[in-house]
Amino acid sequence: MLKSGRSGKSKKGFIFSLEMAIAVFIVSSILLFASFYATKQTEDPYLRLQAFRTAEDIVAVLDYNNILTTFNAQSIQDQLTQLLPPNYDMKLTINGTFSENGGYLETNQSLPTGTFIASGSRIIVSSDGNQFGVVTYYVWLK
Amino acid sequence: MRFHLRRKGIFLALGLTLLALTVLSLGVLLLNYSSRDEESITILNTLDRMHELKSSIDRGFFKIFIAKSGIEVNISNQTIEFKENMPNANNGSLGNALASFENFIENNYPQASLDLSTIINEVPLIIMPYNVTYTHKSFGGKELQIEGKGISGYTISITIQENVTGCEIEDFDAGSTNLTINAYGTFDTSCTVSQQVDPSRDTEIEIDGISDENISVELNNYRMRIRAEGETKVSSVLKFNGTEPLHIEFPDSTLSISYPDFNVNMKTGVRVI
Repeated sequence: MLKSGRSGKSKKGFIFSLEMAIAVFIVSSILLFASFYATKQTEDPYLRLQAFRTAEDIVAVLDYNNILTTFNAQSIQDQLTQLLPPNYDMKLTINGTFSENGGYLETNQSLPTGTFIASGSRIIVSSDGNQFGVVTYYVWLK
Repeated sequence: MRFHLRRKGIFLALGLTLLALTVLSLGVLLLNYSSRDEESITILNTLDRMHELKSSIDRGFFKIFIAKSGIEVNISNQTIEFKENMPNANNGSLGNALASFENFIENNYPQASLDLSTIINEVPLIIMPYNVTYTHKSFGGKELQIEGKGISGYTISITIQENVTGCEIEDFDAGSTNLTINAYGTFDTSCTVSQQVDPSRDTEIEIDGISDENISVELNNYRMRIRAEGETKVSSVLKFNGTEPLHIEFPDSTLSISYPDFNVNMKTGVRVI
C-alpha cells in the first residue's frame, strides 16, 4: 500500500514535470520565433531614409556654397567634416567634364563593410556654366 | 488532489502557450507594419531622388543662365527687373551651353529627359506665381515681349545711340496700371513719361527724335512689345501687388523625370531663379 502510494506520487510528479517541460519547450520556441520577427522590425527603415536625406542636404549645401566646383578634395573634406552630424560618416566622388584631375575626384574616406550605406547623386555645374559633373555620395552610421 | 495538480499543470501550460501566441501575433503584426513601411520608404526614397535630381538640374540651369544669357535679373519683394542688350549677342553661347547640359544630363540620368528647343530659341522666362512671361521673338533678335496679367506697374528704360528729344504715351485708355517710360540717348539727352493705363487696350509709346522703325514700344492685350533695330539697352521693371515671393521658371514642358518601376513620373518647368 505504501509502495503503491509512493509510486503513484512519483508518477504524478513525473507527469507534472513532463507537462512543464513540454510547456517550456513550446513557449521558448514561440518566443524565439517572435523575437526573430521583433528583431527584424527593430531595423528601422526610416533611419536609412534619414541618412540619405542628411547626405542629400549636405551635398546641396556644398553645391550652393560652390565648394564642390573648387575641385579641391581637402577643402571638400573639411566642409564635410563641419557639416556632418557626429554619428555619420560620408564619402564623395565627382565625375564629369572638369579639367582638373581628368574630371575625377574622391574624398579620402573608405567605405565600411558590414553596415548599411545609403547613396545618391547630384548634378553640379561650374560657375562659368562650361563644366558639368555628377557628385555621388555614400553615407553610413558610424 | 491528483486531479487538482493535473488541472494546475494544464492551466499553466495553456496560460504560457496563450502568452507566447500573443507575443508571436504581436511579432507578426510588427513585421506586417514593417513591410508596409518598406514599401512607403521605397516610394519616399524615389520621390526624394526625383526631387534631388530636379533641384540639381534647377541649380545647373541657374548657373548657366547667369553665366551665359547676358540677361541680368534682380528680384526684390514684388518687383522684378530684367536688363539686357538688344540684340542679345549671347544667343550662341547660351544655346551651346544648354545643349551640352542637356546631353550631359540625359547621358548620366536615363530617367530624365529635357526639351530645350523653345528655351534655346526664345529664352522664355516665366515669372511665378503670376505666370507672366518675359520672352524673345527670337533670342538674339530685335524684339522682346512681356505678356500676362497681374502686373501692376511697368517701368521700361531704354538707352539708345541717338538723340532723344522727348517721349509720349499716346492713344491709351486710362486704367490702374502704371506705365513709366525712360529713354536715354546720346549727349545726355533723356526723357521720362508716366501714365495710368489699361493694359488690355492699345497703348502706344512714342520716343521723339527716333524713328518708329528703330524703336517701337507697344502695350496691348496685356502684352508689351519692345522692338529695337540698333544696339539698345533695355531695362524692364515689373511690379506686382501680391505677397508671394517671385521666382522665375522655364516653361512647364521642359523637364520630364520618370521612374517606371515605381510608376512615378514628373513633367515640370525648370526653376531658373
